[in-house]
Amino acid sequence: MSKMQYRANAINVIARRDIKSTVNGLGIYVVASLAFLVSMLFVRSNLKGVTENGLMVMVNPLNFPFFIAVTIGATYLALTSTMSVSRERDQGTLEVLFYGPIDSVAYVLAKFFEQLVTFLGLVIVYMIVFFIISKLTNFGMDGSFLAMACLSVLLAASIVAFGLLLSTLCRSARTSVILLLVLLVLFLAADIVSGILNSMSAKDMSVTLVYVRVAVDMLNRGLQWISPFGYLNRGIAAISLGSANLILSSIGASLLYTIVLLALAMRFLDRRGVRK
Amino acid sequence: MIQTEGLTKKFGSLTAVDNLNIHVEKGEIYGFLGPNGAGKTTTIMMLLGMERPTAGKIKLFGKDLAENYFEIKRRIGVLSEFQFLYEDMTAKEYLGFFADFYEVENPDRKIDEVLSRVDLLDRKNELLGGYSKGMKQKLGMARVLLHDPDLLILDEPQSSLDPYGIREVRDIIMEENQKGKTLFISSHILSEIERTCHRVGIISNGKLLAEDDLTHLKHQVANEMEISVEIEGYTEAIASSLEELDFVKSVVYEDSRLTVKTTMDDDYRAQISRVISSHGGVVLSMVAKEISLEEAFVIITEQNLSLLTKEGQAS
Ligand SMILES: Nc1ncnc2c1ncn2[C@@H]1O[C@H](COP(=O)(O)OP(=O)(O)O)[C@@H](O)[C@H]1O
Ligand SMILES: [Mg+2]
Repeated sequence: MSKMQYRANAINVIARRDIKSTVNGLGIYVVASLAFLVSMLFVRSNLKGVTENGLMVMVNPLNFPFFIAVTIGATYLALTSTMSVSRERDQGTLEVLFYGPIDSVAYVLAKFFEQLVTFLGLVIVYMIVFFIISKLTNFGMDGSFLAMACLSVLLAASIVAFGLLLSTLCRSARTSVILLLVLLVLFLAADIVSGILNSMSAKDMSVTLVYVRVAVDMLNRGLQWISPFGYLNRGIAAISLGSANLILSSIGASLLYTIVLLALAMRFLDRRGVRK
Repeated sequence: MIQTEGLTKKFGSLTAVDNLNIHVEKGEIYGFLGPNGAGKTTTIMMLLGMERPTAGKIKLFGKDLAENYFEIKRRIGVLSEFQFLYEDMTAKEYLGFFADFYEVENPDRKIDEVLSRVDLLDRKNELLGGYSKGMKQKLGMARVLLHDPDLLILDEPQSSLDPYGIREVRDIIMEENQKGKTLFISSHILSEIERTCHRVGIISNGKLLAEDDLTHLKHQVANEMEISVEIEGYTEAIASSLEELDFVKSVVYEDSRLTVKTTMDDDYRAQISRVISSHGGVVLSMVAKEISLEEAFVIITEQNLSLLTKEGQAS
């Protein structure tokens, strides 16, 4: 058997076991329902707009609620990915796996596919539900809805890769989750602060504040290439502009990002070791 | 089967394993002995590629692990010192998972077979979270046997077991060896090692002090042989004649037993018997008492006595 066949078997067996335990667990259902409820709030407000004004202003009224639902799902995956490797190392079960025919490449890929398949399941369920809602409400669905679904899978892939990288870095599940939260807050804060500063006109600003604005802006631009959500933002912008070139390059960038982060996660796992 | 050359592991300033040269032959049971913290587990982890050696080379099945990683890993079964299980699984599910992982044929039959070998077949549908420490260790043993490995590496396999469990695992060790399997067992239950192992390596403070078969090892360590003679018709003359022999170190008579201590270089029982007869005594029984592995172990590790030649080969 070749190296790849050994790896394929390990990936298959481990991902299947983990998916089974996700399906048997409670967390995914709680998050899926919660995400669905939140998205329904948006659908309802759109519906209200139609009944009150008698006309539809939005082109694709279901796209945004669907996007909210899958983003909540993907954020949950960020959390579970971030805990996955560090928790298994902490419990010592990672060590036992590595007595056998598995290496860091196969293990990281197993965790990646496990999360991605879970997400695909979630997206398919949401697509069915939103299709039914579209029939019930007469809200239209077009190609951009499908593009949104594809975009969300790319988003999930980069989020999972990001989570796995953090997970291989940390000793315990707790530290890795704290690291995730800190980074997410940092990404969000940089984005919000630079948004606020950019909305202010330079005339009203002191010189220091202008420098701060430039610095925050640069930091934010940098972070937008590190944060998986940065890739999402560029994807959404590309879809709404309808530019095929931009869409393709944003897909390419997310894929590259995912691959680089997974490769780093494999390296970190090798260096950090699999023992408690 | 296992061969290391200058294997060294440093954790910061601590040298956990120091220039280790071990040789495990195919088909043997090799006992890897050493006090707590001697470096046994660290050595095992390096053999498996799970700790990166600071220096040195390792060959398993005559090959480099890095070059034949998956093939070699598939042929090894490892029981760790502590058991880390998926506590939310039953024994059957747990072994089922590992059967898939190692691509075992006829998994259901094999699972029942290994569970019955560790006497856990009737508990196979129980959650592992409810297993006792000893049961977990036995389940770990079942996992080791699942894919029929050619090399079994067992780190303290009997540490949590009751006497029944100890015997079950001993039987498994012997059975696997009968099938031609090689076993590398780290332990400090020396009576068990003495019962099962062909050869031992003794490690202390990361250094290999001895590597030898059991009899030879004991002979090297002990500087005298104690022979206990049950005797009829004892006279003082017997004792004094024996004391005159140059290989005899001491003679003590007590409760119709004569205890003769001789040098280790040869078996002197026949000569002793002749001396006793020549003075009209009758030998009813004669036993040469060997030192135990435990005594040898204590002597070697306490005195940091190296029984290896300069090249690190067993003398
Ligand atoms: N990851 C580690 N970091 C630092 N020191 C370690 C590590 N693992 C083991 N050690 C030290 O190395 C020495 C050997 O440990 P170990 O191989 O577990 O001994 P044994 O299995 O013979 O009881 C001990 O002093 C232990 O504290
Ligand atoms: Mg140990």
